[in-house]
Amino acid sequence: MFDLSRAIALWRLECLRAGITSPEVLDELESHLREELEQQSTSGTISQKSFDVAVQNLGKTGALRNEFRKINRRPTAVERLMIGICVILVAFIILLSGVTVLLCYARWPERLVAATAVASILIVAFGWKRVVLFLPVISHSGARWAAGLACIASGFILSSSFCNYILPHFESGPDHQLPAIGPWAVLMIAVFSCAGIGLLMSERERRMWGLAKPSNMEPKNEG
Amino acid sequence: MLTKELVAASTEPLILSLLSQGESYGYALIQEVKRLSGNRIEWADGMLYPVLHRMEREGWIESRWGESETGRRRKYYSLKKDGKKALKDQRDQWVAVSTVFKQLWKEQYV
Repeated sequence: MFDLSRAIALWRLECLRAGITSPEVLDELESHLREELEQQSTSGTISQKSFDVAVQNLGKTGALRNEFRKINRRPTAVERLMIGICVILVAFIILLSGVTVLLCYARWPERLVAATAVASILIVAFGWKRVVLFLPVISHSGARWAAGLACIASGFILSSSFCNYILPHFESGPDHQLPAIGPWAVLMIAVFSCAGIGLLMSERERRMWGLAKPSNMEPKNEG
Repeated sequence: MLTKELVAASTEPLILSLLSQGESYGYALIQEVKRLSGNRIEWADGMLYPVLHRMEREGWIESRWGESETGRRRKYYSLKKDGKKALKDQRDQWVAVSTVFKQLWKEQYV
């Protein structure tokens, strides 16, 4: 007696071994397979032969894997190199910031204020991807560029105003050394630049970079 | 039978056109194309799904898991706003090609 459940489980295992690992893709292919078997079996019974024909019609697992890989391709060597460089740069920035905070600020409260600013900048840098989801998508290209660049410029203007008009009130000592509140000016540039870059992205670009709102495509946990 | 290249080139506009008539699922799309073309267009069954996934990533179509009449899980696809635009663009291109052929062959066979 042909055991369909076992045959499907073995076929899924074969797909997994071939490199088709996404459960959603496997579920969809299995659904297709069952559809085909349902159409083939007029008497209601499914034989090993009809199962083999359905699997054959679906295509070779290796070819299927290659087609899916074209969509969900992994980063190329150049992209991996760029990611590596970014990691080194971030590590260097954290190290430099830590040394600066320790050497430039003598008192611990100042160090704490400066370190909080540096931490906030890093949170903005790493978390902006999530915030982009909530930024409006401007469909008109010209308006998108205008809004994005205006947002980036606003960060620099606000930061400059902060340094020129607000910061001098906090300057202490004869050496006019900038107090720990200085790094907060950089945070303004970071926040507005990230928002500006988000606004500059079209819907297509957001999808390409995985920054679009997820659509209603989650499979329901049925059966 | 159509050539592999022509089948590949016509896959996206065919899917968009079929989905413009209402939501559907992979197996039904394959059968419908087979029926409409009189078995002259035959997609390799499994190869349709990477195309559907790519089109979904492009934002042309969207999917949802539903149930078949027999209660089996089935993934339905439907056209999105961008898909309608893409369909219009692709239809214009195919109509342009078709018009040229019609005129050329009409002149030849008159």
